[in-house]
Amino acid sequence: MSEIICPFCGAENPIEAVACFNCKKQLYDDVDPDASPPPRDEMEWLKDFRGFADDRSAGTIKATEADQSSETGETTTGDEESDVPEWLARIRALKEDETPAPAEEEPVEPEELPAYLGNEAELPDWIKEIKQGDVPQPLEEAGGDMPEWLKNMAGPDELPAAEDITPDLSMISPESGAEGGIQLPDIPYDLPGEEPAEVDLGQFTPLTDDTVDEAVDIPDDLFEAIASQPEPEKPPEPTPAEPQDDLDWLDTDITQPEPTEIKEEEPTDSGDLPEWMFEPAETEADTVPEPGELDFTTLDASLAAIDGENMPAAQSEAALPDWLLEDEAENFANQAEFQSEGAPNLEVGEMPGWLHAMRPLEAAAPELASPMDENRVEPTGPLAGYQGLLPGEGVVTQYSRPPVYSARMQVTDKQRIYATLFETLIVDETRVGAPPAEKSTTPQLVLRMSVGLVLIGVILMALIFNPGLAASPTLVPPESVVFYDTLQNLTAAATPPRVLVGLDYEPSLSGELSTIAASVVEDWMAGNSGLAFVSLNLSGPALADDLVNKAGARVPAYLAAERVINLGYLPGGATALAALAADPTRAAPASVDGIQAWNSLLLQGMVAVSDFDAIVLLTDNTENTRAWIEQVKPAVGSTPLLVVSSAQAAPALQPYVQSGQITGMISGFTGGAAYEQLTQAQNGSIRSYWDAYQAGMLLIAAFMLLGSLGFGIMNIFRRTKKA
Amino acid sequence: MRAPLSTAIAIAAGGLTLIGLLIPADPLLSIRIRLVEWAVALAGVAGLVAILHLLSVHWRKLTARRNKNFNSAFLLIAFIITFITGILLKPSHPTMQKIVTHIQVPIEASLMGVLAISLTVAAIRLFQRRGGWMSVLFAISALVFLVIGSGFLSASANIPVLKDVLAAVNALPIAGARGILLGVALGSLTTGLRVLLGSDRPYSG
Amino acid sequence: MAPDLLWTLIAFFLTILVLSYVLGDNALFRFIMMVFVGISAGYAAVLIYYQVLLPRLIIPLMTVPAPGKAVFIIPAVLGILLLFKLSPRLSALGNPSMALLTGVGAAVAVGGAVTGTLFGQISGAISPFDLAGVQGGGSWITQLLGGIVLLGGTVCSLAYFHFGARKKDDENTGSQPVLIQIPARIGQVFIAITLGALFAGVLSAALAALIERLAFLINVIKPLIS
Repeated sequence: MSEIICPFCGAENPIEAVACFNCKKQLYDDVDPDASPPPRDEMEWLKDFRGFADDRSAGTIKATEADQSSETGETTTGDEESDVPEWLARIRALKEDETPAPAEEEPVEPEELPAYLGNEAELPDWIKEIKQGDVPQPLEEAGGDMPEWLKNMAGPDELPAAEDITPDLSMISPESGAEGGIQLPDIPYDLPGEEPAEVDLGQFTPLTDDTVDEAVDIPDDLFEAIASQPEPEKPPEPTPAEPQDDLDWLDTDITQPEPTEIKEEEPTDSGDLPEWMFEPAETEADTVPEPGELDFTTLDASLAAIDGENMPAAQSEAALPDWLLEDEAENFANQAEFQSEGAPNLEVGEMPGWLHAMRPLEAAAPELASPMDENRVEPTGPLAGYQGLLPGEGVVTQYSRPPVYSARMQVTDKQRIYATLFETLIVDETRVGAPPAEKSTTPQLVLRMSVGLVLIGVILMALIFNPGLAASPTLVPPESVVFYDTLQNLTAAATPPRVLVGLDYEPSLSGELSTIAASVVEDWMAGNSGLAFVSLNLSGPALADDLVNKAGARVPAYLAAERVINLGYLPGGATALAALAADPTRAAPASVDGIQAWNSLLLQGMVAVSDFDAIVLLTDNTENTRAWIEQVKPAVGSTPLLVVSSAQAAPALQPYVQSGQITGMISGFTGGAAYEQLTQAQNGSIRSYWDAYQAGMLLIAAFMLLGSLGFGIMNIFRRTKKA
Repeated sequence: MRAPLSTAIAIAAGGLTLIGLLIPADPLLSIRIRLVEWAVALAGVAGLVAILHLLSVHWRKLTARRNKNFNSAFLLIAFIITFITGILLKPSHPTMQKIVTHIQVPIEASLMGVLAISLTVAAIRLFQRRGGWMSVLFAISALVFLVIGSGFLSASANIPVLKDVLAAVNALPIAGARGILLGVALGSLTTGLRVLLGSDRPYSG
Repeated sequence: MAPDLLWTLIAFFLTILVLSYVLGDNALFRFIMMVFVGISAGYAAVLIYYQVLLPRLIIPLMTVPAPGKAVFIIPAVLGILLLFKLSPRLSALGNPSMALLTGVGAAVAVGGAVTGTLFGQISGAISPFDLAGVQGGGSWITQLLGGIVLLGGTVCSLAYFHFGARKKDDENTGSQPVLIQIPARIGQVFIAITLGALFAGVLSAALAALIERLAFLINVIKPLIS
C-alpha cells in the first residue's frame, strides 16, 4: 500500500493523510488554506490583454462551488469563491454553459457570465467548435467510465473533509491526483492557449514563508531514510480517458485523479487564432499584425511582465522551494518531449503520493533542470506550429537554481578519530620550535633562590672555616710556566725591567683579576721593576692605582711613587693602541696626575713601546686583547707579551698562546693558583679563596649535571609518551 | 652620492692611515700618526657626547608630562655630584679613587656574582628548553671544563697520562676558537675594506 | 667615623643590596642601579675632560705657537662638530667627524687583522708541522697528530661560518655545497666544544667575583663580631 513519508519527521502516513500524524505538519507544502490569490489589481494586465478590463462583473462565477459539487456535492463558502480568478470563472462559466450541469449543481447566474459568452456571434471559432459538440463528454458524464480504483480513490469517503483541506481550485495541479491533495496553481491559462503542458504550474503555487523555511530545513538524514525505504507498489495503470475538449482538462484535473489526455493539435493558421488574443495589439498600436508575421512584442511584453515583479505569481516563485521548482520543470519537460514526438494518445503519468514524498531526494540532484530545445516547434496554442519561438514559459517557469554543494565534510567516525590524532601530532610538533611560555615566574624564582642560597652558603662556609681540603694544583699549564719564567728572567736581570702594563678589565671582574694580578705585580715589584700603567677603559686608572696600592702594601721596599706611573685612559680602543704602538710619547703624553710622563725618571729616554722590557696585559675581554695583539705586538718585536686574563677570556686567547703571539698567560683562579704554586708564595691571595672556589665550581658542575640529567630524562619520557 | 664630503674624508683618512702602515716612512708615517691622534681625540669627544646624550634622555624622562621616571632624578643627582667633585678634585684624588673602588667595584662585582647564580640556573635548565646533539655536546664540554677549571684534576699529578689527557682536552677548544678568530678577522677585513672603498657609509646616518 | 670605614660601609651595603637581587627584584636594587649609572657617567666625564679634552685639544690650542696651532684646530673643530650629533636636526654636521673616526678605525682594523690575526693564526696553525725542533720519536707523532687535529678543526670551523648557498640553473638552492656541508658539520663539533669551554670560563669568572664579594663581606663583619 502506498504511504506518505513525512518530509519533516520521516513518519509513515496513510496515503490520504494531509497532515502528519506524528509531527502534525502539513505533508504537502502547496496545501495552504491561508494562501490567498494575488491581488486583483496585479492581474490587470491579463484583463488588458484580453480586453476585459472594463468588464469586471463578468467574471464572478462560482467555479469553486461548481467544481466541489462535481466531486463531493458540497458547496463552498463565499470566501472561496472570491479566491477564484475571474478569468477562470469566465472560462468555467462558458464551459458550464456548453455542458449540461448536473442536477445538484447550482446553475450559473446569467449575469455572472462574461458578456462575450452570452453573445455567440462574438465567440471565437474554436469555441464555436467546442459548442458544436466535437468535444468529449463532460467529466460528470465520463464519470461512469472511470475505473473502479479511481472511483474508490476519488470517493468522498476517502477524501479529506472540506474543512481540512481548503479546496482552492486554483491550486490544484492538473496532473496530480486528488488523493495527493495537490491543488492547481493559479494559472493564466489564456496566455499560451489551452495547452496545460506549456505552463509551469509550480510558479503559481502559493507558499508561505513558513513552508518554504520548513522545506529548506529538511534534514539530510531524512533523504537517506526516504531513499532507504522499500520501493512501494506501483499504482494500477490508469485507464485512458476519453478524449476531451481542450478546456475540459480544467474540470477533469480538478475533479479526477485520472491523468488528462493531451490532444495533439494540428498547427493552426493565424486565422484560427481567436481574435481576442490580438486585441491588445490593436488597442495599443491600431495595427493588426499580418498573419505570417505575428507581432510578439505584446507577448514579449507580457512575458517581461511575468518575469518582472508585476506578476504576482512571480513573487510567490521566489518563495518556492527548489525541489518543487525542479520537479515541476521536470514534469513540464517530459510533457514537452512527449508532445514533440507526436504521441497524442499517451497519457500523462500520474504522480502517486509516495513519489511525491520522495521529492526532496530529487531536489538533491541538481541535474534535474530540464533541457530546453531552442529549435522546438510550438506544439499547441495560438502559436502552434511556429518554430524558434521564445519559450516564454521556460523563461518564467523553469527556474533552475545553481547547484549548492554542502560545505560539510562527510567523514566517518573512524576518519574523524584519525584526523584528531593527526592534528594532535601536528600541534605537538609545532610546539617544539617555540617552547611554551612560563605560566608563572614563581618556579624559576624559587629555583634561583634555592640555587643562590645553596651556592652562597657553601662559599661562605668554605671562606669562614677555610678547611684547606682543596689541594693546590700540581699540574701547571705550560703558558703559566712561560709566564713565570719570563718574569723571573726579567726581574733577575741587573737592570730593573720597565714594563708597560695594560690594565684592561672592568670593575665587575676586578675581584678575579686584581686577585690574580696582585701576585704578579708583587713579583714585578719585588724585582724593582718600573711599571707604566695604561688603560683602555674609564675605570682603569683608578683600578691601577688600587692594584698598585694593594701590591705595594705587601712589598714595603718598593717605591711605588718613583717606579710606577699611571698613564691613564686611552680613548678609541684599537685606534688608541695603534697610536700607542706608533708613538707612545704622543699617544699618552701625561700621567693621571698631569705630569709629563715621558720626561719622568722612569720613562726617560723611551720613544717606542719596544723600549719596554715586557708588556703585561691584565684583561678580561677578548676584543681588547686581540687589539693589543694586532696593534701593539707587531710594534714591539721580540718584547714578551704576558697576559693575565680572566677565565672567561682564556679559551678565546688560547690560539694566540699556541701561535706564540702571547708569550705567557695566567688565566683565572686556576692559573693564578698554579702561578702561586710556582712562586711558592706562602700567603697568596688565591690560596685563601681556593677552597671556596673549588667547592663552588664542583657544586655548579653537580647542579648542571643533575639538571641536565633530570630534564634530559624528562624530555626522553615526554617524547616516548608522545610517540 | 649621499654625504660626499664625509665619504671623501673617510676614504682619504683611511687610505692615508693604511698607506702609512704599509709604508712606515715620512711623510706617510707622520700623516698616519697625526690622523690616528685626531681620531683618538675625537673618540674622547664621542665618549663625552654619549654621556651628554644619556643625561638628556634621563632629563626628558624626568620632565615628561606623562609617566615621569623619578629614578632618573637619582641618576642626574649622582652625576652632578660626581662630576663637580671630580672637576674640583681631579681624577687622581683619593676620593675619586674611592668612588670607583668602593661604589663601582662593589656594585659591578656583586652583579657579576648574581650572574654566577643566574648562569647556574640556566645550566640546570639547559635541557628543559633545548635538545639536540649540539646541546648535549655543549653541556658535556661545559661540564668537563668546569671540572678542569676547578683545579680538582690538576691536583692529581701522579695519575698516569692525566697530564696528556688534560693537555689534549685543553687543546680541543683552540681549533674552534681559532676558527672564530679567523672568521672575526676576515669579517673585520671585509668591513674595513668596504668602508675604505665607500661602499659602507655608517657615518652618514 | 673614619673616612675609610665610611667607604667600607658604603661598599658593604651596596654589595648586600645588589646581592639581594637573588631574592627578587626590588626598589632599592633599582635605585642603586640608577645611582651607579650616574656616578659612573660623572667619573667618566671627569676623566674625559682631564685625560682627553684638556691635554689633547684645549691645552695645545692655548699653548702651542701659531704655526703649529692649525694641527690642533682641526680636531678641535671636528670635536665641536661632533657635539652636533646631540641634536637630531643638526646631527648631519657631525658626519665629517664620524667619517674621520670611521675611516681611521677601518684602516687600523684592516691592518691589524692582516698582520695580527690572519698571519699570526695561519702561522700558528701550521707551526705544529715544523718538526725541526722536536726531539724524540713519540713526541713528534703527538705534535703532528695535534697539528692535524687543530688545522682540521680550524678549517672545519671556518667552513661552519660559510653561509653561501649552492646555485643550480642560476637559482639559489638554499643549501651549501657538499664540500662545505661535511666539514661544516665537523666544525660544528669544535664550535660546540669551544662554546662549552667559554661558558665554563664565564661561570668561573663570575664565581670568582662572587667569592671575592662574599670574602669582602666576611672581612667587614669579622672585626665587628670579634
